[in-house]
Amino acid sequence: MATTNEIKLFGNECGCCGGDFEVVAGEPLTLYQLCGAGSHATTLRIGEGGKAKVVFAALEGGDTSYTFRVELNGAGAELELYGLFVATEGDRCRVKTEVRHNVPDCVSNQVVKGVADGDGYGLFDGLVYVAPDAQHTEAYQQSRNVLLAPTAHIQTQPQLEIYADDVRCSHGATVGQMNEEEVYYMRQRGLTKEAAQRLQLEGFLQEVLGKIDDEPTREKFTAKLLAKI
Amino acid sequence: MLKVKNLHATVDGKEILRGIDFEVKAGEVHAIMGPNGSGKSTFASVLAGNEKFTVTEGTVEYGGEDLLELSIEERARKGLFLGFQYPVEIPGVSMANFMKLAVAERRKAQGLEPLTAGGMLKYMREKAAVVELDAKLMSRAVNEGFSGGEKKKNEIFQMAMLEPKLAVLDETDSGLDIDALRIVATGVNRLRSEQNATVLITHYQRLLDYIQPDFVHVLYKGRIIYSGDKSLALKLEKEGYDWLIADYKED
Ligand SMILES: Nc1ncnc2c1ncn2[C@@H]1O[C@H](COP(=O)(O)OP(=O)(O)O)[C@@H](O)[C@H]1O
Ligand SMILES: [Mg+2]
Repeated sequence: MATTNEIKLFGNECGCCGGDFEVVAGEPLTLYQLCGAGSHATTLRIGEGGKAKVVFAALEGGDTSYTFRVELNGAGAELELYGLFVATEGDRCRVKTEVRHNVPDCVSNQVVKGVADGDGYGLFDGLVYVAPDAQHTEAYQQSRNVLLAPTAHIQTQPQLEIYADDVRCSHGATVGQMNEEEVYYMRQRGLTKEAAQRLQLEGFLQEVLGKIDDEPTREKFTAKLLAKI
Repeated sequence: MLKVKNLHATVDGKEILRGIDFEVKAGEVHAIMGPNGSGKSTFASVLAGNEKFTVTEGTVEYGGEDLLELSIEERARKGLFLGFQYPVEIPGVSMANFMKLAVAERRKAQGLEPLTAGGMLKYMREKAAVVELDAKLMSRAVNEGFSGGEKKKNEIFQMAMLEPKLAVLDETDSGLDIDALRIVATGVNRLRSEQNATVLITHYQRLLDYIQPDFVHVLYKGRIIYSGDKSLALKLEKEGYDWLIADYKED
Protein backbone atom coordinates (compact mmCIF):
# COMPACT_ATOMS: atom_id res chain seq x y z
CA MET A 1 0.00 0.00 0.00
CA ALA A 2 1.23 3.46 -0.80
CA THR A 3 1.85 5.73 2.12
CA THR A 4 2.15 9.45 1.71
CA ASN A 5 4.71 11.17 3.83
CA GLU A 6 3.42 14.61 4.53
CA ILE A 7 5.96 16.90 6.09
CA LYS A 8 5.12 20.39 7.23
CA LEU A 9 7.78 22.90 8.08
CA PHE A 10 6.30 26.08 9.47
CA GLY A 11 8.01 29.34 10.29
CA ASN A 12 7.75 29.50 14.02
CA GLU A 13 9.08 26.04 14.57
CA CYS A 14 12.20 26.35 12.48
CA GLY A 15 14.75 29.06 11.93
CA CYS A 16 16.21 27.22 9.01
CA CYS A 17 13.86 24.66 7.68
CA GLY A 18 14.63 22.22 4.98
CA GLY A 19 16.39 18.90 4.87
CA ASP A 20 17.50 15.98 2.77
CA PHE A 21 14.94 13.55 1.48
CA GLU A 22 15.14 10.29 -0.42
CA VAL A 23 11.94 9.55 -2.28
CA VAL A 24 11.15 6.05 -3.48
CA ALA A 25 8.28 4.40 -5.32
CA GLY A 26 5.20 3.74 -3.22
CA GLU A 27 6.04 6.41 -0.69
CA PRO A 28 5.28 9.77 -2.27
CA LEU A 29 6.48 12.79 -0.38
CA THR A 30 4.52 15.99 0.13
CA LEU A 31 6.47 18.82 1.62
CA TYR A 32 4.87 22.08 2.77
CA GLN A 33 7.23 24.85 3.75
CA LEU A 34 6.06 28.10 5.26
CA CYS A 35 9.30 29.37 6.71
CA GLY A 36 10.35 32.67 8.19
CA ALA A 37 13.43 34.77 7.54
CA GLY A 38 16.59 32.74 7.03
CA SER A 39 18.07 30.34 4.52
CA HIS A 40 16.17 27.17 3.85
CA ALA A 41 17.84 24.50 1.79
CA THR A 42 16.17 21.31 0.71
CA THR A 43 17.57 18.41 -1.27
CA LEU A 44 15.36 15.79 -2.84
CA ARG A 45 16.64 12.64 -4.46
CA ILE A 46 13.85 10.93 -6.30
CA GLY A 47 14.34 7.33 -7.37
CA GLU A 48 12.54 5.16 -9.89
CA GLY A 49 8.78 5.73 -9.72
CA GLY A 50 9.14 8.18 -6.83
CA LYS A 51 6.88 11.22 -6.58
CA ALA A 52 7.49 14.42 -4.67
CA LYS A 53 5.39 17.53 -4.33
CA VAL A 54 6.62 20.71 -2.69
CA VAL A 55 4.61 23.81 -1.89
CA PHE A 56 6.49 26.65 -0.25
CA ALA A 57 5.88 30.28 0.56
CA ALA A 58 7.90 33.23 1.81
CA LEU A 59 5.40 35.43 3.60
CA GLU A 60 6.99 36.26 6.92
CA GLY A 61 9.03 39.24 5.80
CA GLY A 62 12.70 39.97 6.24
CA ASP A 63 15.44 38.21 4.36
CA THR A 64 14.19 34.84 3.21
CA SER A 65 15.85 32.43 0.89
CA TYR A 66 14.74 29.04 -0.34
CA THR A 67 17.00 26.66 -2.19
CA PHE A 68 15.82 23.43 -3.75
CA ARG A 69 18.13 20.92 -5.29
CA VAL A 70 16.28 18.06 -6.88
CA GLU A 71 17.81 14.99 -8.51
CA LEU A 72 15.57 12.83 -10.67
CA ASN A 73 17.48 9.56 -10.57
CA GLY A 74 15.14 6.83 -11.74
CA ALA A 75 12.67 6.35 -14.59
CA GLY A 76 9.17 7.60 -13.77
CA ALA A 77 10.36 10.00 -11.08
CA GLU A 78 8.13 13.05 -10.76
CA LEU A 79 8.56 16.43 -9.14
CA GLU A 80 5.94 19.11 -8.62
CA LEU A 81 7.26 22.29 -7.08
CA TYR A 82 5.04 25.29 -6.38
CA GLY A 83 6.02 28.41 -4.55
CA LEU A 84 5.15 31.98 -3.86
CA PHE A 85 6.77 34.94 -2.24
CA VAL A 86 5.56 38.37 -1.25
CA ALA A 87 8.28 40.94 -0.62
CA THR A 88 6.99 44.18 0.87
CA GLU A 89 8.94 47.15 2.23
CA GLY A 90 12.33 46.00 3.53
CA ASP A 91 11.91 42.36 2.47
CA ARG A 92 14.21 40.33 0.28
CA CYS A 93 13.07 36.98 -1.04
CA ARG A 94 15.25 34.63 -3.03
CA VAL A 95 14.21 31.38 -4.61
CA LYS A 96 16.79 29.14 -6.20
CA THR A 97 15.83 25.86 -7.78
CA GLU A 98 18.00 23.31 -9.49
CA VAL A 99 16.20 20.38 -11.05
CA ARG A 100 18.40 17.72 -12.56
CA HIS A 101 16.95 15.15 -14.92
CA ASN A 102 19.74 12.58 -14.73
CA VAL A 103 17.92 9.70 -16.40
CA PRO A 104 15.21 9.28 -19.07
CA ASP A 105 11.44 9.35 -18.51
CA CYS A 106 11.09 11.79 -15.62
CA VAL A 107 8.72 14.71 -15.19
CA SER A 108 9.18 18.01 -13.41
CA ASN A 109 6.81 20.95 -13.14
CA GLN A 110 7.69 24.19 -11.36
CA VAL A 111 5.50 27.25 -10.83
CA VAL A 112 6.87 30.09 -8.72
CA LYS A 113 4.93 33.31 -8.30
CA GLY A 114 6.34 36.48 -6.82
CA VAL A 115 4.95 39.80 -5.70
CA ALA A 116 6.97 42.85 -4.67
CA ASP A 117 5.73 46.11 -3.20
CA GLY A 118 7.42 49.16 -1.68
CA ASP A 119 11.16 48.65 -2.01
CA GLY A 120 10.76 44.87 -1.78
CA TYR A 121 13.13 42.68 -3.75
CA GLY A 122 12.63 39.23 -5.18
CA LEU A 123 14.78 36.81 -7.13
CA PHE A 124 13.96 33.61 -8.93
CA ASP A 125 16.91 31.64 -10.15
CA GLY A 126 15.85 28.38 -11.69
CA LEU A 127 18.02 25.83 -13.44
CA VAL A 128 16.66 22.85 -15.31
CA TYR A 129 19.33 20.37 -16.34
CA VAL A 130 18.62 17.48 -18.69
CA ALA A 131 21.47 14.95 -18.99
CA PRO A 132 22.61 13.83 -22.47
CA ASP A 133 20.79 10.52 -22.39
CA ALA A 134 17.73 11.66 -20.39
CA GLN A 135 15.33 11.16 -23.31
CA HIS A 136 11.55 11.59 -22.89
CA THR A 137 12.08 14.15 -20.21
CA GLU A 138 9.19 16.49 -19.48
CA ALA A 139 10.33 19.62 -17.70
CA TYR A 140 8.21 22.71 -17.21
CA GLN A 141 9.10 25.87 -15.40
CA GLN A 142 7.16 29.09 -14.90
CA SER A 143 8.22 32.20 -13.04
CA ARG A 144 5.43 34.80 -12.87
CA ASN A 145 5.98 38.04 -11.04
CA VAL A 146 4.09 41.19 -10.30
CA LEU A 147 5.39 44.56 -9.16
CA LEU A 148 3.02 46.73 -7.16
CA ALA A 149 5.26 49.78 -6.86
CA PRO A 150 7.76 51.47 -9.15
CA THR A 151 10.44 51.03 -6.48
CA ALA A 152 9.87 47.28 -6.16
CA HIS A 153 12.18 44.94 -7.98
CA ILE A 154 12.07 41.31 -9.10
CA GLN A 155 14.70 39.50 -11.08
CA THR A 156 13.99 36.23 -12.78
CA GLN A 157 16.71 34.02 -14.22
CA PRO A 158 15.47 30.83 -15.80
CA GLN A 159 18.23 28.64 -17.15
CA LEU A 160 17.77 25.57 -19.24
CA GLU A 161 20.63 23.22 -19.89
CA ILE A 162 19.27 20.55 -22.14
CA TYR A 163 21.59 17.95 -23.59
CA ALA A 164 19.02 15.40 -24.77
CA ASP A 165 17.00 15.89 -27.96
CA ASP A 166 13.80 13.92 -27.43
CA VAL A 167 12.35 16.05 -24.63
CA ARG A 168 9.38 18.25 -23.87
CA CYS A 169 10.55 21.32 -22.01
CA SER A 170 9.04 24.75 -21.64
CA HIS A 171 9.65 27.72 -19.49
CA GLY A 172 8.15 31.14 -19.09
CA ALA A 173 9.25 34.11 -17.09
CA THR A 174 7.38 37.37 -16.71
CA VAL A 175 7.63 40.46 -14.55
CA GLY A 176 4.75 42.87 -14.93
CA GLN A 177 2.16 45.07 -13.31
CA MET A 178 -1.33 44.12 -12.25
CA ASN A 179 -3.87 44.42 -15.02
CA GLU A 180 -5.86 47.63 -14.57
CA GLU A 181 -8.77 46.42 -16.69
CA GLU A 182 -9.52 43.75 -14.09
CA VAL A 183 -9.59 46.31 -11.29
CA TYR A 184 -11.86 48.56 -13.34
CA TYR A 185 -14.23 45.66 -14.00
CA MET A 186 -14.47 44.80 -10.31
CA ARG A 187 -14.96 48.43 -9.31
CA GLN A 188 -17.78 48.67 -11.85
CA ARG A 189 -19.48 45.96 -9.81
CA GLY A 190 -19.10 47.99 -6.62
CA LEU A 191 -15.81 46.86 -5.08
CA THR A 192 -13.42 49.53 -3.86
CA LYS A 193 -10.12 49.87 -5.66
CA GLU A 194 -8.32 48.40 -2.64
CA ALA A 195 -10.69 45.43 -2.38
CA ALA A 196 -10.40 44.79 -6.11
CA GLN A 197 -6.60 44.89 -6.04
CA ARG A 198 -6.48 42.57 -3.08
CA LEU A 199 -8.84 40.11 -4.70
CA GLN A 200 -6.82 40.21 -7.87
CA LEU A 201 -3.60 39.54 -5.99
CA GLU A 202 -5.17 36.64 -4.12
CA GLY A 203 -6.38 35.36 -7.46
CA PHE A 204 -2.90 35.55 -8.90
CA LEU A 205 -1.46 33.54 -6.01
CA GLN A 206 -4.41 31.15 -5.87
CA GLU A 207 -2.81 28.93 -8.49
CA VAL A 208 -0.11 28.05 -5.98
CA LEU A 209 -2.35 27.86 -2.89
CA GLY A 210 -4.73 25.63 -4.82
CA LYS A 211 -2.00 22.99 -4.99
CA ILE A 212 -2.21 22.43 -1.24
CA ASP A 213 -4.48 19.42 -0.79
CA ASP A 214 -4.41 19.42 2.99
CA GLU A 215 -7.17 21.79 4.11
CA PRO A 216 -5.68 23.04 7.43
CA THR A 217 -2.35 23.64 5.75
CA ARG A 218 -4.00 25.57 2.95
CA GLU A 219 -5.81 27.68 5.51
CA LYS A 220 -2.57 28.35 7.31
CA PHE A 221 -0.88 29.51 4.10
CA THR A 222 -3.91 31.59 3.14
CA ALA A 223 -4.11 33.29 6.53
CA LYS A 224 -0.42 34.19 6.32
CA LEU A 225 -0.92 35.50 2.81
CA LEU A 226 -3.91 37.65 3.77
CA ALA A 227 -2.00 39.06 6.70
CA LYS A 228 0.89 39.94 4.39
CA ILE A 229 -0.96 41.68 1.57
CA MET B 1 -32.71 59.62 -14.07
CA LEU B 2 -29.81 60.48 -16.38
CA LYS B 3 -29.19 63.87 -17.96
CA VAL B 4 -26.15 64.31 -20.18
CA LYS B 5 -25.42 67.79 -21.49
CA ASN B 6 -22.79 68.74 -24.03
CA LEU B 7 -20.45 65.97 -22.94
CA HIS B 8 -16.93 66.08 -24.34
CA ALA B 9 -14.27 63.51 -23.52
CA THR B 10 -10.74 62.73 -24.64
CA VAL B 11 -8.33 59.83 -24.52
CA ASP B 12 -4.60 60.53 -24.83
CA GLY B 13 -5.45 64.08 -25.83
CA LYS B 14 -7.68 62.93 -28.69
CA GLU B 15 -11.29 64.10 -28.54
CA ILE B 16 -13.70 61.18 -28.89
CA LEU B 17 -16.96 62.53 -27.47
CA ARG B 18 -17.78 65.88 -28.98
CA GLY B 19 -20.91 67.21 -27.35
CA ILE B 20 -23.37 64.49 -26.39
CA ASP B 21 -26.86 65.43 -25.24
CA PHE B 22 -28.86 62.53 -23.91
CA GLU B 23 -31.63 62.04 -21.40
CA VAL B 24 -33.11 58.89 -19.89
CA LYS B 25 -36.16 58.74 -17.65
CA ALA B 26 -37.17 55.92 -15.33
CA GLY B 27 -39.01 53.13 -17.13
CA GLU B 28 -37.46 53.84 -20.53
CA VAL B 29 -35.37 51.74 -22.87
CA HIS B 30 -33.03 53.58 -25.21
CA ALA B 31 -31.02 52.08 -28.03
CA ILE B 32 -27.82 53.72 -29.23
CA MET B 33 -26.64 52.68 -32.66
CA GLY B 34 -23.93 53.91 -34.96
CA PRO B 35 -21.01 52.71 -37.09
CA ASN B 36 -17.86 51.28 -35.53
CA GLY B 37 -15.56 53.84 -33.99
CA SER B 38 -18.35 56.38 -33.39
CA GLY B 39 -17.69 56.57 -29.66
CA LYS B 40 -20.44 54.30 -28.30
CA SER B 41 -18.15 52.34 -26.00
CA THR B 42 -16.37 55.51 -24.99
CA PHE B 43 -19.69 57.04 -23.97
CA ALA B 44 -20.52 53.96 -21.87
CA SER B 45 -17.03 54.03 -20.31
CA VAL B 46 -17.31 57.70 -19.41
CA LEU B 47 -20.67 57.05 -17.73
CA ALA B 48 -19.09 54.20 -15.75
CA GLY B 49 -16.17 56.44 -14.76
CA ASN B 50 -13.33 54.68 -16.62
CA GLU B 51 -10.25 56.66 -15.70
CA LYS B 52 -8.68 56.24 -19.13
CA PHE B 53 -10.97 58.97 -20.42
CA THR B 54 -10.98 62.61 -19.43
CA VAL B 55 -14.15 64.66 -19.45
CA THR B 56 -13.24 68.09 -20.79
CA GLU B 57 -16.65 69.73 -21.00
CA GLY B 58 -20.29 69.18 -20.14
CA THR B 59 -22.32 67.73 -17.28
CA VAL B 60 -23.88 64.42 -16.32
CA GLU B 61 -26.61 64.28 -13.73
CA TYR B 62 -27.68 60.92 -12.34
CA GLY B 63 -30.47 60.60 -9.81
CA GLY B 64 -30.11 64.30 -9.05
CA GLU B 65 -26.37 64.01 -8.36
CA ASP B 66 -23.31 65.08 -10.31
CA LEU B 67 -22.24 61.70 -11.70
CA LEU B 68 -18.81 62.94 -12.74
CA GLU B 69 -17.92 63.64 -9.09
CA LEU B 70 -18.44 60.01 -8.11
CA SER B 71 -15.85 57.24 -8.16
CA ILE B 72 -16.36 54.16 -10.32
CA GLU B 73 -17.55 52.08 -7.38
CA GLU B 74 -19.83 54.80 -6.01
CA ARG B 75 -21.60 54.93 -9.35
CA ALA B 76 -21.96 51.15 -9.35
CA ARG B 77 -23.30 51.09 -5.80
CA LYS B 78 -25.85 53.71 -6.72
CA GLY B 79 -27.20 51.36 -9.34
CA LEU B 80 -25.28 52.18 -12.51
CA PHE B 81 -24.38 48.98 -14.29
CA LEU B 82 -22.21 48.59 -17.37
CA GLY B 83 -22.40 45.41 -19.40
CA PHE B 84 -18.96 45.22 -20.99
CA GLN B 85 -18.49 44.76 -24.71
CA TYR B 86 -15.42 42.69 -23.83
CA PRO B 87 -15.91 41.15 -20.37
CA VAL B 88 -12.63 40.82 -18.49
CA GLU B 89 -11.16 37.53 -17.26
CA ILE B 90 -9.95 37.54 -13.69
CA PRO B 91 -7.71 34.53 -13.00
CA GLY B 92 -8.02 32.89 -9.60
CA VAL B 93 -11.09 34.92 -8.51
CA SER B 94 -14.20 32.76 -8.39
CA MET B 95 -17.52 34.06 -9.69
CA ALA B 96 -19.17 33.11 -6.39
CA ASN B 97 -16.70 35.07 -4.30
CA PHE B 98 -16.79 38.05 -6.65
CA MET B 99 -20.59 38.18 -6.65
CA LYS B 100 -20.74 37.79 -2.89
CA LEU B 101 -18.63 40.93 -2.47
CA ALA B 102 -20.40 42.88 -5.20
CA VAL B 103 -23.91 42.04 -3.96
CA ALA B 104 -22.91 42.92 -0.39
CA GLU B 105 -21.84 46.40 -1.54
CA ARG B 106 -24.95 46.96 -3.60
CA ARG B 107 -27.27 45.82 -0.81
CA LYS B 108 -25.51 48.04 1.69
CA ALA B 109 -26.05 51.01 -0.62
CA GLN B 110 -29.72 50.03 -1.01
CA GLY B 111 -30.10 49.89 2.76
CA LEU B 112 -30.82 46.16 2.66
CA GLU B 113 -29.68 43.53 5.15
CA PRO B 114 -26.74 41.41 4.02
CA LEU B 115 -27.72 37.99 2.66
CA THR B 116 -26.81 34.89 4.63
CA ALA B 117 -24.49 32.39 2.94
CA GLY B 118 -27.45 30.16 2.14
CA GLY B 119 -29.54 33.09 0.95
CA MET B 120 -26.75 34.18 -1.36
CA LEU B 121 -26.43 30.71 -2.86
CA LYS B 122 -30.16 30.54 -3.51
CA TYR B 123 -30.21 34.05 -5.00
CA MET B 124 -27.29 33.18 -7.25
CA ARG B 125 -28.96 29.98 -8.51
CA GLU B 126 -32.21 31.84 -9.16
CA LYS B 127 -30.56 34.54 -11.25
CA ALA B 128 -28.31 32.10 -13.10
CA ALA B 129 -31.45 30.20 -14.13
CA VAL B 130 -32.96 33.37 -15.64
CA VAL B 131 -30.14 33.59 -18.18
CA GLU B 132 -29.73 29.81 -18.40
CA LEU B 133 -26.18 30.12 -17.16
CA ASP B 134 -24.74 26.85 -15.86
CA ALA B 135 -24.52 27.22 -12.07
CA LYS B 136 -21.26 25.26 -12.22
CA LEU B 137 -19.63 28.37 -13.66
CA MET B 138 -20.01 29.99 -10.24
CA SER B 139 -17.08 28.00 -8.90
CA ARG B 140 -14.89 28.96 -11.84
CA ALA B 141 -12.74 32.06 -12.14
CA VAL B 142 -14.55 35.14 -13.48
CA ASN B 143 -14.99 34.73 -17.25
CA GLU B 144 -11.96 32.47 -17.48
CA GLY B 145 -12.48 29.79 -20.08
CA PHE B 146 -16.06 30.96 -20.63
CA SER B 147 -17.32 30.78 -24.21
CA GLY B 148 -18.26 34.02 -25.94
CA GLY B 149 -21.94 33.37 -25.26
CA GLU B 150 -21.30 32.48 -21.62
CA LYS B 151 -19.39 35.72 -21.10
CA LYS B 152 -22.31 37.76 -22.41
CA LYS B 153 -24.86 35.80 -20.39
CA ASN B 154 -22.61 36.30 -17.40
CA GLU B 155 -22.90 40.07 -17.84
CA ILE B 156 -26.69 39.82 -17.77
CA PHE B 157 -26.49 37.45 -14.81
CA GLN B 158 -24.44 40.04 -12.90
CA MET B 159 -26.91 42.71 -13.89
CA ALA B 160 -29.75 40.59 -12.48
CA MET B 161 -27.78 40.04 -9.27
CA LEU B 162 -27.10 43.75 -8.76
CA GLU B 163 -30.58 45.05 -9.67
CA PRO B 164 -29.36 48.27 -11.25
CA LYS B 165 -31.37 51.44 -11.68
CA LEU B 166 -29.64 52.20 -14.95
CA ALA B 167 -28.09 49.46 -17.04
CA VAL B 168 -25.89 50.35 -19.99
CA LEU B 169 -25.30 47.27 -22.13
CA ASP B 170 -22.48 47.66 -24.61
CA GLU B 171 -23.04 45.34 -27.57
CA THR B 172 -24.15 42.51 -25.36
CA ASP B 173 -25.77 41.08 -28.49
CA SER B 174 -22.63 40.95 -30.65
CA GLY B 175 -21.42 37.48 -31.43
CA LEU B 176 -24.48 35.76 -30.01
CA ASP B 177 -26.47 33.14 -31.85
CA ILE B 178 -30.25 33.51 -31.91
CA ASP B 179 -30.70 31.26 -28.90
CA ALA B 180 -28.28 33.18 -26.70
CA LEU B 181 -29.73 36.44 -27.99
CA ARG B 182 -33.21 35.38 -26.91
CA ILE B 183 -31.89 34.43 -23.46
CA VAL B 184 -30.07 37.72 -23.02
CA ALA B 185 -33.17 39.62 -24.13
CA THR B 186 -35.33 37.66 -21.69
CA GLY B 187 -32.99 38.66 -18.89
CA VAL B 188 -33.21 42.31 -19.86
CA ASN B 189 -36.99 42.24 -20.26
CA ARG B 190 -37.47 40.58 -16.87
CA LEU B 191 -35.59 43.38 -15.21
CA ARG B 192 -37.60 46.11 -16.91
CA SER B 193 -39.71 48.11 -14.51
CA GLU B 194 -41.08 51.60 -14.00
CA GLN B 195 -38.24 52.35 -11.62
CA ASN B 196 -35.28 51.47 -13.78
CA ALA B 197 -34.00 52.14 -17.26
CA THR B 198 -31.85 50.45 -19.88
CA VAL B 199 -29.52 51.79 -22.53
CA LEU B 200 -28.73 49.24 -25.22
CA ILE B 201 -25.73 49.92 -27.36
CA THR B 202 -26.10 47.78 -30.41
CA HIS B 203 -24.98 47.28 -33.91
CA TYR B 204 -27.89 45.31 -35.15
CA GLN B 205 -31.59 45.73 -35.41
CA ARG B 206 -32.10 42.08 -34.43
CA LEU B 207 -31.72 42.66 -30.66
CA LEU B 208 -34.50 45.19 -30.96
CA ASP B 209 -36.80 42.46 -32.28
CA TYR B 210 -36.66 41.06 -28.75
CA ILE B 211 -36.37 44.21 -26.69
CA GLN B 212 -38.65 47.03 -27.73
CA PRO B 213 -36.89 50.35 -27.26
CA ASP B 214 -38.77 53.57 -26.62
CA PHE B 215 -36.11 55.62 -28.40
CA VAL B 216 -33.38 54.93 -30.91
CA HIS B 217 -30.39 57.25 -31.28
CA VAL B 218 -27.59 57.37 -33.78
CA LEU B 219 -24.17 58.26 -32.42
CA TYR B 220 -21.67 59.36 -34.99
CA LYS B 221 -18.25 60.94 -34.54
CA GLY B 222 -18.87 61.59 -30.89
CA ARG B 223 -22.32 63.17 -31.20
CA ILE B 224 -25.89 61.99 -31.23
CA ILE B 225 -26.86 63.11 -34.69
CA TYR B 226 -30.36 61.69 -34.91
CA SER B 227 -33.03 60.31 -32.60
CA GLY B 228 -36.31 58.58 -33.34
CA ASP B 229 -38.56 55.76 -32.24
CA LYS B 230 -38.03 52.09 -32.95
CA SER B 231 -38.90 52.46 -36.62
CA LEU B 232 -35.54 54.25 -36.99
CA ALA B 233 -33.73 51.01 -36.22
CA LEU B 234 -35.61 49.26 -39.03
CA LYS B 235 -34.81 52.03 -41.46
CA LEU B 236 -31.11 51.85 -40.50
CA GLU B 237 -31.17 48.11 -41.01
CA LYS B 238 -32.57 48.51 -44.53
CA GLU B 239 -30.80 51.63 -45.67
CA GLY B 240 -27.63 51.81 -43.62
CA TYR B 241 -26.23 55.00 -42.15
CA ASP B 242 -25.24 56.77 -45.35
CA TRP B 243 -28.36 58.91 -45.68
CA LEU B 244 -27.73 60.19 -42.16
CA ILE B 245 -24.02 60.69 -42.04
CA ALA B 246 -23.43 62.21 -45.46
CA ASP B 247 -23.59 65.67 -43.92
CA TYR B 248 -20.95 64.81 -41.33
CA LYS B 249 -18.30 63.29 -43.56
CA GLU B 250 -16.18 66.41 -43.63
CA ASP B 251 -15.48 67.07 -39.94
N1 LIG C 1 -8.09 53.68 -25.18
C1 LIG C 1 -8.13 54.32 -26.34
N2 LIG C 1 -7.02 54.89 -26.84
C2 LIG C 1 -7.05 55.53 -28.03
N3 LIG C 1 -8.13 55.64 -28.82
C3 LIG C 1 -9.26 55.10 -28.37
C4 LIG C 1 -9.32 54.39 -27.14
N4 LIG C 1 -10.58 53.94 -26.97
C5 LIG C 1 -11.27 54.33 -28.06
N5 LIG C 1 -10.47 55.01 -28.91
C6 LIG C 1 -10.87 55.60 -30.19
O1 LIG C 1 -12.07 56.27 -29.99
C7 LIG C 1 -12.93 56.10 -31.09
C8 LIG C 1 -14.26 55.57 -30.63
O2 LIG C 1 -14.10 54.26 -30.14
P1 LIG C 1 -15.29 53.45 -29.44
O3 LIG C 1 -15.85 54.30 -28.38
O4 LIG C 1 -14.75 52.13 -29.05
O5 LIG C 1 -16.31 53.31 -30.65
P2 LIG C 1 -17.55 52.33 -30.87
O6 LIG C 1 -17.84 51.66 -29.57
O7 LIG C 1 -18.65 53.21 -31.33
O8 LIG C 1 -17.14 51.35 -31.92
C9 LIG C 1 -12.21 55.18 -32.07
O9 LIG C 1 -11.62 55.99 -33.06
C10 LIG C 1 -11.17 54.54 -31.22
O10 LIG C 1 -10.04 54.22 -31.97
MG1 LIG D 1 -17.84 49.63 -29.01
